[in-house]
Amino acid sequence: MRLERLTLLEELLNARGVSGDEGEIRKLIGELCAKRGARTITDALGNIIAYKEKPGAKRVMLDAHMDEVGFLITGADANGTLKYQPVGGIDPRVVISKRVEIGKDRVPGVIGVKPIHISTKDDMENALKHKDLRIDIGAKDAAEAERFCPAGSYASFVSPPTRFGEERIVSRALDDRVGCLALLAALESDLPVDLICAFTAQEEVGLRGALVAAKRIRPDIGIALEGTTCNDLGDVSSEKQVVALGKGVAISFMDNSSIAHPKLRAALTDCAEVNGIAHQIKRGVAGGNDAGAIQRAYSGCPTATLSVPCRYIHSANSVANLSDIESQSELVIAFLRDFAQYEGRIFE
Amino acid sequence: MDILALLKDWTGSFGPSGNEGEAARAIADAFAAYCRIETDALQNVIATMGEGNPRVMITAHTDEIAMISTVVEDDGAIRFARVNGIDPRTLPGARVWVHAEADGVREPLLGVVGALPPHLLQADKQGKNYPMDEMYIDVGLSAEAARDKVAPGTLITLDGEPLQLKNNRIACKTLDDRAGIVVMLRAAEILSERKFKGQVSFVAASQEEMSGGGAETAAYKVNPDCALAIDMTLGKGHAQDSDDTFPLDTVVAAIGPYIHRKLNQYLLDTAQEEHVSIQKEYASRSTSTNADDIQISREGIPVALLSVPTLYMHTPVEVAALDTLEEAARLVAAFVAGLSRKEEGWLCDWND
Repeated sequence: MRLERLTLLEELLNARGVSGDEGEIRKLIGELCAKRGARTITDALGNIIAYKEKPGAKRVMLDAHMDEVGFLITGADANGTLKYQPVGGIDPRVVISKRVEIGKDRVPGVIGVKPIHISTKDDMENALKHKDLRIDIGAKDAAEAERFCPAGSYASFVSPPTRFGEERIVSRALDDRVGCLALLAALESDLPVDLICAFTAQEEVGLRGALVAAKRIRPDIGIALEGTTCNDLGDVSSEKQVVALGKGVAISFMDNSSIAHPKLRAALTDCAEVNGIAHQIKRGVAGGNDAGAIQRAYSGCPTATLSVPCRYIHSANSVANLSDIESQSELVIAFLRDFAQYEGRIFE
Repeated sequence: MDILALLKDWTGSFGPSGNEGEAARAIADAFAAYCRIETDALQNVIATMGEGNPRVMITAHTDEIAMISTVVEDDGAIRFARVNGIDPRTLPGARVWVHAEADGVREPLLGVVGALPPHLLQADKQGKNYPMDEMYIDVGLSAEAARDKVAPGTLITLDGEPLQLKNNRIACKTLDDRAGIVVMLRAAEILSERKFKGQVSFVAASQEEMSGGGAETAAYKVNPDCALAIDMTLGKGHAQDSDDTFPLDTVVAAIGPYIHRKLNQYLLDTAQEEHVSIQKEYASRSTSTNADDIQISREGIPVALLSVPTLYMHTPVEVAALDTLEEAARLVAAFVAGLSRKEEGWLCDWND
C-alpha cells in the first residue's frame, strides 16, 4: 500500500464514530470529500452523501458506513464506575480488560473485572454480560463520574492502528473505515458513471443511514464496500472460515440482509478476473450490511457487496491485510471505469 | 522523581518469572543513583545504602505474569499455555507480545488473541468463557514464518502502557509489582536526603509469582535483622467490594501468623507518627507474597507486609493510585530510619 493511502487509512481509523455519535469521523470525511472536488450534503441521520455527477449516465451508489461499534454510557454507580449498553454487536467476552475513551474530551477508562484471585469457578466458567460490567475512569463517586462522563455519552475502544506481521494492520473500526477508504479512492478517479458515494451513519444499529440515503439517491445500482467476519485461524473447519485473510476482496452471494443481484455479482467477478485483482467468494451467509437496505429502498435496485476480510471484527483489535484493502478499492474502480462493458448484461 | 515515566519504563520491561534479567538491569540502573548494587544468580537486584546495624531488607518483586507458546498450527495460529497468574478471561481480542528470539536477541512480535466468534460457537459454549486452549495468538505470519520465529516455549507477555485516569490513578500492566519497586526507589530517594543509622537493602526479587525463591535466597544473602515486603493487594471496586478488598487511597498492613506481630506494630506506629493512614488486612495462613518466604529464610527473619491496593490485578489494566505509592514510600523511609531507636533483640522478646 502506498504511504499516502496508508496514512489516509490511519487518519480514518483515528477518528471516532460510534453509531449515533459519528461527529468526528463525519467532519473528517466531509473535508476529505471536499478536497476531492465532490459536492456533499449531510442529511437528517448524519449521512454524508458525496456527488460526482454525470447526468445521463447510470447512477451508481457506493456505500460505506462511517460508524463503528462502541458503548453508550447509561449512568454511574455509587462507587464511581460507569454503566453502559453496547452499541452494535459486541461480544462481552472481548471487552474485559480493554481500554476505552468516553465523550468529546476522550476521557480514558478501562473495563475491569474481579481478579482471578477472588473469582469463583462459576466466575471463571460463565461469561459476564454487559450489564455486569463497568467502565472505570478513576472517579471516586457517582457525581464525579457523571461530571466527566454524563449519561448519554458515547465511548469507543482505544486501539491505535499498528502495522504488524506480513502486510497486516490491527486497529479498532477497520469495519468499515476500509470501505470509506475505497469510496474516497473512487471520488479521486474520473469514472464514467453518475457517482454518488454515501458515507452512512448507523449501519451497526440496523442499517438505518443507508436506507434513507438510498431513498434520497435513487440509484440504478448499489454496491456496499464493507469489512466482513473472517475466521481463518485456529484450526477452524473450512465451512466456518467464511473468508481468508490475504486472499483478496470478498464477493458475497448472500447474507442475512440481502441476496446479491446475480448479474451484478457475476459482472464484478468477471471484472476481478479480467483485471487480475485478487478476489474470493465469501463462503457464508452470516451477518448483514447496507446492501440489504439499499436493495429495498425506493423502488429497489441491483446490489452487491465487496468486503475486506477482518479477523476479530467488532473487537478492540480487528486485523486486516493491506493487500485485501487495496483489492477492494481496485475492484470497485476497475468495475466503474469499465462500466460500459458490463452495463448491458446487468440490466438486460 | 517522575513516577509516571518510571512506571512507563519499568512496566514495559521484559521480566517473566525466571527471566527477569532485562527488567532487573533497568531497575539496577535506577537504584545505582543512591545505592551499592549487587545482582545474584537468581536475577535478584540487591541495592544497599548505609553501613552497620541495624540491617533491614525492603523487597518488592521484579517478575511479571506471562504465557508461553506450545505449538504453531498449520494455519499460523500460535497455541499457548499459562506460565503463571494470567486470567484467560482478559485475553480474547487483546494485544500481546510474543518474545521471539533471533541469535539470542529478543525480537518481540505483536500478536492478537483470537477465538471462535459467538455465531460459530456450539450451543453449549455460548455464554461460556473461552478456555485458554481454545484461544490462539495471531502474529500475522504464515505457519512457516511463524514456526521459524516462534519456537515452542517462547514467552508471551501482556500489552498495556500506562493510561492516566482521574484522581491521579493509573491503569497499566505489571503494576504488580513494579509499582512496589517504584515505592522502594522513592523511599531510597527520601532516605538519601536524610540521616539514618544502620543499613537498608532494597531487593528487587525474582520469581515471586512462581516459588518465592528470589526473595528467600536474597534474604539469606542480605541476612537482615528484619524485613518489609511491599506488594499489591486487592482494590475495592465494582463486584469486588468484599472484606478482602481495599479502597485505593490508603496503604494496607497485614495481620496474621506469617507476619511478625511486633514488627507490624512498629509499622502501624510509624504510620501514625507520620500521619500515613493505613488499613489492615488479615491472613490466617499464607499472605501469598514474598513475606511468606522471607519469614523462614535463614534461622527465621521477622517480616511485615505493606501493600498498595490495586484493582483488576493480573490484567493489562491494573489500576492503582499514584498518591498511595507516594504515601507508601514515605512510610517505608520512616520505617527504615526509625529502626535504630529499637533496642537490640527487640524482635525476639516475646514477653510483652
